Amino acid sequence: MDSVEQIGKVAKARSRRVEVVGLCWSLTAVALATFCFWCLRNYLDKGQASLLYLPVVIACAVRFGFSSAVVGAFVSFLCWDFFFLQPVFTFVVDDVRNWLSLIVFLIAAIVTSRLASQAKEQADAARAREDEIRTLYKASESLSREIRADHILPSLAEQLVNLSSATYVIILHRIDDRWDVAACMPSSVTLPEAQKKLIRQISQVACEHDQVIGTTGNEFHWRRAIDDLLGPSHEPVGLYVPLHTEKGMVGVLHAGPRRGGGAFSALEEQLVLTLSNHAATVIARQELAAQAAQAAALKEADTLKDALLSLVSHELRSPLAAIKVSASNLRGADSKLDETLREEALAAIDIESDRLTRLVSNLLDLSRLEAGAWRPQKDWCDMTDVVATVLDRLEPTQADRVDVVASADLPLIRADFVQIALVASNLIENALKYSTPSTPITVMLSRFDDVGLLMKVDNIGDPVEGSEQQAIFDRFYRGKSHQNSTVHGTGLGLALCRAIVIAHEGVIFLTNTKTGPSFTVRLPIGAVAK
Amino acid sequence: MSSSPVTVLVVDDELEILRAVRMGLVAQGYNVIVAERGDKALERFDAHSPALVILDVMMPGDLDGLDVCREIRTRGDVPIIILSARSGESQKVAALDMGADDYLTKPFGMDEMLARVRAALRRAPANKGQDLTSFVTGDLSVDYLRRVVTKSGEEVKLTKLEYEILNYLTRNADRVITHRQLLSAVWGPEYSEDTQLLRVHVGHLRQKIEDVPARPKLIVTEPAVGYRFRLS
Repeated sequence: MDSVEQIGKVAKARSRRVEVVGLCWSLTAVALATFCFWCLRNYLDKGQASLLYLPVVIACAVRFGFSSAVVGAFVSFLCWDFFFLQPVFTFVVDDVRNWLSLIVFLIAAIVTSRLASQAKEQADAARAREDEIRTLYKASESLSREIRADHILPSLAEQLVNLSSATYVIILHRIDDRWDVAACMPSSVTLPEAQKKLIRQISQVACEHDQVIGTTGNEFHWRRAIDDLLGPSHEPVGLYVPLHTEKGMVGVLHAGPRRGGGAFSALEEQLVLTLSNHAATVIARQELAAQAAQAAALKEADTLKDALLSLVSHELRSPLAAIKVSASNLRGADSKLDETLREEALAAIDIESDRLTRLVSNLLDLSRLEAGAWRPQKDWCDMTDVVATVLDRLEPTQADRVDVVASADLPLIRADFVQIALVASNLIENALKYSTPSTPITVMLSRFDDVGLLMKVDNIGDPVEGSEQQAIFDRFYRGKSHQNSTVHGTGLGLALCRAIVIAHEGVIFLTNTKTGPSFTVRLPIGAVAK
Repeated sequence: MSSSPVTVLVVDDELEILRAVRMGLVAQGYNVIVAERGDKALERFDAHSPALVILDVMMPGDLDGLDVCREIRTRGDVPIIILSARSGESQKVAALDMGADDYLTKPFGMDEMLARVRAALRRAPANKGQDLTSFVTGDLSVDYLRRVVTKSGEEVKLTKLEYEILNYLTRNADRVITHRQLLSAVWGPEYSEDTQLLRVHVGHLRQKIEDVPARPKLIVTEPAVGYRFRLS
């Protein structure tokens, strides 16, 4: 790839430029020192010149490195000789002692420059390590702050783009033989199709050989494989790090070529490798979470299926059996049923088909509500009207057991009349069904502050245990005391109530009073009523 | 039904329902014509001029239940009873707004259907009798000429709006009146969506004319549809 060679050339040219700049500064510094010394030459002993030149040379060593300092030392040496040692303005030195001073100065300058530049390099290295640690800390801190699992990988890629000089970072997730892009940052980057294909191919090689591709120092591990794949004139641009988990290779983190070209620094390589480990952990965690969710969903589906099966086997089959028997009795050619028995058979068919109808509509309503296919059609509702409509549909003897107490300041609410009537009728019918026979049932309607409306339906009977107070609203749940009772129930009514109340942004709950369990529904007004 | 039998057209795409309804109606002496598609329904309507139509409003097809309802309304005011399922609220209301007289939700009992059929047929000739001078049911009476309402012989003071509501409902007694119809008739078409207004005034009206306002027996609510003035 020509571009890589060009990048190399650019990098070399740049480091040469840095050196030249250092050199120029060293020379300028020495020239300035010489000028100052020249001005002060009458007040100073000529032997003390070294004391002025030495700090300048050391400063150059610290600032621009060893080579600039050496050049500075030599120039200082020559300047001292030329400007200050007899005979002045020649490089000739007549006094042997002066020669000695010059040589000692040169040696001292070079040795101290060496020490100073080494100290500087160590300080730089320490600072680089500190930077690295700080960078990693920053990266892992911002990652641990990321709560949503599907945001972690993009956030990690973004961190890497910000902290290194990679032009872009892509995290590829391998599922079977497919490569999914789990993250690509910055989001503005768009790669041509051909390059995407190339990235996938190199990722494949990185995974197959389990080798980091693109790092310096281990070229012999991967250069052959890449050359086999792409031909000798090709070279991958950027870094490819295979992502390991205990289950094997799950993907590749690819850092695009450096901004401004050149090789990645050791710090950047280290950063990429460390964050790749993070990425692998994140992917492993996501895969585990997905498996757990799937298992939980399967288990839930299983429980529901069991509940539905037992419901179908009992609650659906018994009315069907009753209908079938009654119908065949009526049809029997030699049937000699008298009028009362015929009436009974017909009544059984009528009652049992009503029961079936109710069951099927409850099941349908519940599934439509839970699937979000039955949104409340909200309109202004008068709750007393809702309750009256429910009572109107009951048998008169049952309806007369119900006492309605409505406060005078009852507001209109925004609600789906049909759905709220379903809630009221389920609660009232339950109360009639499960309360001690022929005891009165109270329905209380009242205003709840200025924001809502309360409907309270009091049952008379045994209290509901604490552990059941929540479960009673679950699908197919039947109260422990009723599981074997003769009272028919499907465990759908209260689940339906809860689904409707939730769709109305309301609350439904059960409390025990002195006389028995009491259901409370709290509905928001929905808008300011007149 | 002592004279010539009354002809009823039943339209439904479910053959079981068609068969059961036909059986029930024939047993009561009605002359029944059936159709299972929209185009056939209109064809038979034109050929037989039925006195009543029972129509499944959720029937699919190029000419669906609502289209048939609209077409029949353009041909006259023969009573229409709508059949709908619980999930078909919106079609039901649309058909009633269009002028259908009553509705039944599947599954329904045959006795319920027969009661609705009888009520619709009884009402049909009176439909033209908008010039009635008074209305009496139970202990309630409305004198349309003097605009006076009495209950158990005592005059009930109604506001103008309450009287207009009662006037419209009693003139259409035993018939489903949608919110839109009632609002348009009493307040004007521009108020046809303002159900809050309606709830408040109907509530007040019930306070004045019902024996037990919390358990209304005269002005009953048809959930999500409207009201019906029930004849005792």
